[in-house]
Amino acid sequence: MSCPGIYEIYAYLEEEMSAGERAALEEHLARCPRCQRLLADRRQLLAAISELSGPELPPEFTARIMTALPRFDTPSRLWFFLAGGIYAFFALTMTVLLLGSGGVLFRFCFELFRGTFNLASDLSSLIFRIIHSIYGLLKTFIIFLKLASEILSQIAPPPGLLVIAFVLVSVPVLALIRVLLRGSNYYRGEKA
Amino acid sequence: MNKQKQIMNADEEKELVVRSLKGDRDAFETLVRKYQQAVFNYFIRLIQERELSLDMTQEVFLRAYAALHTYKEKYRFSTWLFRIASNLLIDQWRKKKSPALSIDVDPEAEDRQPIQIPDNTASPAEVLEKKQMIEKIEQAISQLPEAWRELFVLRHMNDFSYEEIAAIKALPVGTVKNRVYQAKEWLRAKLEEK
Repeated sequence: MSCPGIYEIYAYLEEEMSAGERAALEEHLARCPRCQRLLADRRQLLAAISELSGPELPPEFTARIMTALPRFDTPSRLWFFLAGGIYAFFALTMTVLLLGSGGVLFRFCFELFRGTFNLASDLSSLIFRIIHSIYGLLKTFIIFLKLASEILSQIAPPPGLLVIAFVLVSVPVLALIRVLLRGSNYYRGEKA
Repeated sequence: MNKQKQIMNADEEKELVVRSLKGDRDAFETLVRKYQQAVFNYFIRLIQERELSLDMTQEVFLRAYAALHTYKEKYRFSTWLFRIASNLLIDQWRKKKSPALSIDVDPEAEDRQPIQIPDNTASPAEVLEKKQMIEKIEQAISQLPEAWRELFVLRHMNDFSYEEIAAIKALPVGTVKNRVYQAKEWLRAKLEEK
């Protein structure tokens, strides 16, 4: 075996070699003073590196981290339920007005609904995420509703509106319920 | 880790993660206690500002806590945690636009590049006492090019294996080894300068 490279010397010292490679290198080392010096020198370097130690953390540091951990669960659940309550209220209001007016107030109700949720979205990023999703969903619904209401109003006006109202209320509410009941990754507030 | 590396069974760590996900803060605190010193050592070596290192160590655990549900059991918790730390460090370096030396090499070409054996006439061990040598190494580490320094610190301060470092940094194992070896040779050359 010819003289090994530094790569091999470090691999030997850090036990990153196979048994066969180690044996071959050791055989070479036994008869090569230059490589012996090289090995001793790098061993010294690694020994000195292993002596390095860092500064200690302040004793209260763990407490500092634990105090800073978010306690999302309780407040976020409140926001979820608040947003859900607002949504349910406006969905019901819209449904009642929609059915009661035969569709005349639909646009007004929708604008009111959307405006309220835009306002609510400013309350927190959590609410914003929900509203953003619901708004996207509603936009899709509106397109669907415009098409469906035209078709259904010619075929069977009252039942058509009823179906639309039912879909409008039930699907997002069910989706919201699913979000509310989903497990959380965060601390649930069992402890102080 | 580091010199106070504690042995914690990987399954035990995963159990702590599961308990943390269920809201057990004591379980997460155990993980914090185990790794906070190692994460701090990592930052202090790479940033060299105590207060900033403390803040970043805290930030790592806050991010880890918030993202705990994304932890995959195929990795060791420490590997996952240091990946967060490494990303945070990169953000910090970008913000600061550190003037420290940087290396710009093609990793593949780098893998093929042999390291030349330097002339061994003046061994640092013969010139310096151990304590002085450690002090010099401390200084030299702070001057290491960033990309080498981080890998060197992960290997020799945090005691990660080359495979774990490769997983943390998403680099080939050969590249990691090569850079760490080069970092050591660079340090050695620095020690020889006087």
